[in-house]
Amino acid sequence: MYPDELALHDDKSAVSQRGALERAGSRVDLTFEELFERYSSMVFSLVYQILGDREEALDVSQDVFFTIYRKIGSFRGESSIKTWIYRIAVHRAANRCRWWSRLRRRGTVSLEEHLSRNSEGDIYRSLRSDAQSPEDALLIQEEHREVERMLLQLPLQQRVAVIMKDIEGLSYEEIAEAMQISLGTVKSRIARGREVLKRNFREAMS
Amino acid sequence: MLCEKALPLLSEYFDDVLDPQTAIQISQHLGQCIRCRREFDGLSSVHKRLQALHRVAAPAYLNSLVRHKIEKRTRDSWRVRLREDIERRWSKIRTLEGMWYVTRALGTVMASLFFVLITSAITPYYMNVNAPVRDLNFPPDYSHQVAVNLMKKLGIPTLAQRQIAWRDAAISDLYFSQFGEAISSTPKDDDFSVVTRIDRSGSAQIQNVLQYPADENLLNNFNAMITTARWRPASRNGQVISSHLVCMVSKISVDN
Ligand SMILES: [Zn+2]
Repeated sequence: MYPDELALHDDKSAVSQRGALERAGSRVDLTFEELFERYSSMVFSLVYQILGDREEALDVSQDVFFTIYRKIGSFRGESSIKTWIYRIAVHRAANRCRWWSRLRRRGTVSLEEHLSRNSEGDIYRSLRSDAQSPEDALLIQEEHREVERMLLQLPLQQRVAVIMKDIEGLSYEEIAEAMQISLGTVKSRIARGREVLKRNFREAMS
Repeated sequence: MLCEKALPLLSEYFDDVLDPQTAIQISQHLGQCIRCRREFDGLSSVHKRLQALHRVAAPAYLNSLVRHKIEKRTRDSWRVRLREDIERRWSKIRTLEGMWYVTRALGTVMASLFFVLITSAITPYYMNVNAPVRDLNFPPDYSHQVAVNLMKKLGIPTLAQRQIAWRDAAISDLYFSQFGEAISSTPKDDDFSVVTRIDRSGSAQIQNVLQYPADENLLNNFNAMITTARWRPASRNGQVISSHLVCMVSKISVDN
């Protein structure tokens, strides 16, 4: 599926990364490789939940890690590296989301339309092992899609806050730092987001 | 505690971030109030369903994509990077339906802009009938100067016959000029000398006849001649030369 040239040029890229890694190492004590190893699924998952599209998430995740690679030298350690990475990821994903909604306002296309056109059946979520049979697995997958669709209906800021709290399991303080908003705003966004979801779930049930 | 006070705090109560005292109050209220209990259960079900989504695994090749991007970007010059960035964004826009119309509209606008630029570059200068004369960079007493210069050339010392208030607002936007031929100190039969008023559309009207031809019949022809004359500011390479007027007279036949 992916062409050969994307297969790694290990020696060269290792050399080119070392400079940044050494700079990063002084404050972060992790090489870029290690950072990627540790946080790639966190970034990808968060971005995917925010945007609801796999290809978009891949694209934005690349941007996020490229930004990390470039800016790690200026990371001052005033927040944890985790929230710093979350901040970059949230910022990038939100920008992409706004880009889509700008297009929608211009009457060209909406993210939802784009998704329904491009990523039908494109969910690679690893199912939990509590699926007993293929039928169970299918049901769980259906349930996940339903929840994802509901999530995408939330306003962007509420969606991000709810995802970080309920899926990523971050603390209020971490979310405030990652989204660069006050603790009070975090609380109200989460509460309002959950409220909307609760209502929508109920409507879907009845 | 009242429901109105409890309900907005349920989300924080669920996350266990309330101060102990408030938390105890809420928990007591939940023990008594079915409605709030139901809302709280709704919240925890929302949380459960969201939590069940758990993390989506990043595809293994994300690593390759990132390294490829880093390697490429580090290698390329900023110019290449900028161009690629623009191309990437543009290709994204181009693939969207509807953008076609935007592109087409943009093309139309550019084409008409180009047309306007080209035509304004190649067409000669036209006098704007409605524009004040100052817009053409004529000095305020331009018409006076033209008249005086013309009269000097024609050998007439002054406008003795009639005093005209040159700076009068009503006539300051008019050009005055002397029109005539072969004016000599000893007038012949067909000599005439006149001050014409040329309005901004370039048509001339006789303002004041300074010297009549001896032949009265010539006066009619003379009228015809003066009204067929057109005046315009002289121009060179499309630039107006404010110190010169050009007079264009179509050939007229004089029949007796
Ligand atoms: Zn209550």
